[in-house]
Amino acid sequence: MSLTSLVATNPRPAAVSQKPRRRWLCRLNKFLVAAQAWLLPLFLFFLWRLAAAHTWMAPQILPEPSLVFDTAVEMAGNDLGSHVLISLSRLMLALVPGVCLGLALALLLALNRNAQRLLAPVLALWAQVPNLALIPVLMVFLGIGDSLKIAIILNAAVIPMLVHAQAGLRDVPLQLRETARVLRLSFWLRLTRLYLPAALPSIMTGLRLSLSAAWTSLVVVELLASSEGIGYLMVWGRQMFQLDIVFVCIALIGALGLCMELGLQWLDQRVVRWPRPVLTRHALRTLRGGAWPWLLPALLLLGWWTATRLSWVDLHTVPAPLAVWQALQHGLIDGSLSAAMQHSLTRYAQGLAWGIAAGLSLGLCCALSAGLGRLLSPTLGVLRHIVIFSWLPLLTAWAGTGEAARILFIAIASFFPMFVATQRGVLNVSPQLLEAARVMRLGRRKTLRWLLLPGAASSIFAGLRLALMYGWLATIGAEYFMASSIGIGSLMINAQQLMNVDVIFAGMMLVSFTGAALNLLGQYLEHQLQGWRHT
Amino acid sequence: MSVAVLAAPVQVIRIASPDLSAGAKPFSGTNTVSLTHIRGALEKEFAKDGIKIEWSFFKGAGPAVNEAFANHQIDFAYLGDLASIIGRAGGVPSRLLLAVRGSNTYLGVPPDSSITSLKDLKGKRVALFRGTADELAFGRSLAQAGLSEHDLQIINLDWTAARAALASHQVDAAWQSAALLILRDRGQIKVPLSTKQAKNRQVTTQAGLVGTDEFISAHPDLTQRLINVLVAQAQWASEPAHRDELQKLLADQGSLPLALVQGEFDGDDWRFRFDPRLDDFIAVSYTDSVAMAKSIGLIRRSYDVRAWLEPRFVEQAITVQGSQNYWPAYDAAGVVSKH
Repeated sequence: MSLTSLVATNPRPAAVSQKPRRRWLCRLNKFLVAAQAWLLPLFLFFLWRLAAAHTWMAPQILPEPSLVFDTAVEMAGNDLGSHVLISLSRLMLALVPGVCLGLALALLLALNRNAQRLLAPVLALWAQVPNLALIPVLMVFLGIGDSLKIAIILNAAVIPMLVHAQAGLRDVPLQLRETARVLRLSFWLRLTRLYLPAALPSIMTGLRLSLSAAWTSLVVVELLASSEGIGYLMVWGRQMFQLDIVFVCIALIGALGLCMELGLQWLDQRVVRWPRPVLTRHALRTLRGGAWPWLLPALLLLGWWTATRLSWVDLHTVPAPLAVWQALQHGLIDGSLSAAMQHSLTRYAQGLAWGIAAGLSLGLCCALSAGLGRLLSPTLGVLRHIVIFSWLPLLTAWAGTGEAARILFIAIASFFPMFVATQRGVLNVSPQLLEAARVMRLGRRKTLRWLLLPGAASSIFAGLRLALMYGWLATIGAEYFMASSIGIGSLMINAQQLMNVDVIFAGMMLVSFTGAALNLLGQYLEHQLQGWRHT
Repeated sequence: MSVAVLAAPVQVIRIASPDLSAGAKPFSGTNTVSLTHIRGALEKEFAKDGIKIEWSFFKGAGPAVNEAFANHQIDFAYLGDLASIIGRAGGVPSRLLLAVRGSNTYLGVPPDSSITSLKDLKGKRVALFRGTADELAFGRSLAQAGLSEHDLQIINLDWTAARAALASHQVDAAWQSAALLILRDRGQIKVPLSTKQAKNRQVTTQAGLVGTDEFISAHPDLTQRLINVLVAQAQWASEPAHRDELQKLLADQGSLPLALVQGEFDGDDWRFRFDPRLDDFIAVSYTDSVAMAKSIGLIRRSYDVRAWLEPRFVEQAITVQGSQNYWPAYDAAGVVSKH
């Protein structure tokens, strides 16, 4: 018996016994419901066939389904299997420790105030550091083998788990915490019977997003010193202008994503047996003040300074803090850094606005209308795993090579965390409250305003934080993958070309601090809009 | 489609290029097209007709430029040999209109390395960006030394990652274009050899201006004027007296150290580098590249290079400008042939 069940004993409204129906009718109904998930993929497939048959798009960009199928068969006959195995093993080697680390960090931050004071600012900064800029430094310590690749994927997988688990743990009802304390439950019991079960819905959301983050970085990573893996195949296919190979990889990643998504759903049904807790006031207040938050950054800075001063590291790879500071100053004075930053931020704001608006509204619609949810969410759940990178050829075909394509790229990146978090958040709202709302005959609008949105707010804000983060990373990525333009990402790539490490680090700092500031903004918004929970 | 194109007056000519800049200004590399871009020569030529020139620059150019070609988003592109071959073999209806030749590739090794020749690379870990023109140049250089890729361990790394890996001693050597010289000038690596030492210029990388069939056949007059401008720029660049000015222009535009640009041209036959003609040397080089690309699986179908070349515009431009005897005749090895 878990503690959480004290709050409410009836997890889901008991199925009201209905009129006896014939069994086959029941089955047919079930089948039809399940079949809805296939409507959208089928529609997309026919659209693809139609577009290819009428050459609405160049056949090199949108190859015919039959060609993709032939390529798939041919690749399967060669060594596609080993590529898949290698990618999957890299994914799992990074995902499992990454998810555990994210969860452990979230627990540490939620249960230990000093740890939160100490680590939270550093983690907020860390989450924003663009991987692309870090690679030369990581290379020194990790080499160019698999450990580098796994470290980068792991880094990407930690963050979504951390953010969502943190939100979930924060929402553990205060009464239960007090009860647990009164009962003098051991730490282990509290962990396994209270915190983990209570935060499980959020943890599952985090797991879903960690999985997609890991897939995404897999492709980036397999660009590096690799001649195998699905990500490598995809990049290779694009480079060789054989987009049918890219489409095979997209289909493969989609299929694997679908399997994992189904696995997660199964897990969801198996482990999340506890009733959805009713949202109460926050147990943890935001911590402020003191020197604690500055301790770790100061230590890191000191370590960095010492390492460069005593030349433990090569100054060509890791610059001295002073050099970075000078590069930063120089870039701000001559306007190169500030102009780049301004361009990137403008682009980011536009893409983010579109992505968040779309994610929020579509997530809400899918959660509110069961039909729409069944129609859209399985397809979107699969698409989520497929890296935006692989859509680039199609994206540029539709949106051109200019600013619109970059904004679309950012919008897509921020859409998915927002969509998932909103949908899961609304679905996770306590059914008792919904029942109460029904009994009280609250209208749809009132239910939404007073029950669903506040109830899902916690998850939505966790999604927002991820959207802010991914949108920012995509802003940097868009400048890397698309036609060159002014922006902070381009600036760093240019500096990389000349191996001006001080400029790279200055850019990296600026990007991280901007990201952290945006994160603070997200937290501030959450704080303001969730004011009712701080009473 | 073509009727509609014929009917509509051209308002803009769209040209794409790789972006090799290390600064804020886009930079197409050390070639004729780049010089033309820097000086705004095409803009001047077409201003009187109200035709705009729209340049787009791509980092990691090949794939993006070929996609833009397939999407009908550009009319011309400056591309390295392999990228244009991949595009043509993939079904982009294009023609090669004008050549730029002899770009060098270099071998970089750590300062304490004992590698001095290609033979020393046996069994070593060499960073190479596969699927780019570097791969072909390296393959040819190895073949001249009697080696093949199987004799060494190739590590597929993009250019910046390869330089980082070389600087941090993760690989024994790296093979790439002149950007490698940045590390040499800082003393982080040495460059024991490059394609400059080879007598046969076929080991170097060729490049050129590619145009879509659609544009060329609909607007042969505009294409001719465009090529006229490029040939005039090529002739200006081929003049040794303009050497310093040219190098400075290129380095400024690309925010590159002047020494890097000088290093790339150092000791090369100046006129050879900027010879725009689609001569025997170019035909042999591209034919060989197509065969190589096919044999290592970079393209699925090979095609007839000589039918792909469209030399009439460049020949006409040379005749119009009376420069028939300006560039010497080069043989298939890129050496001045004596008649």
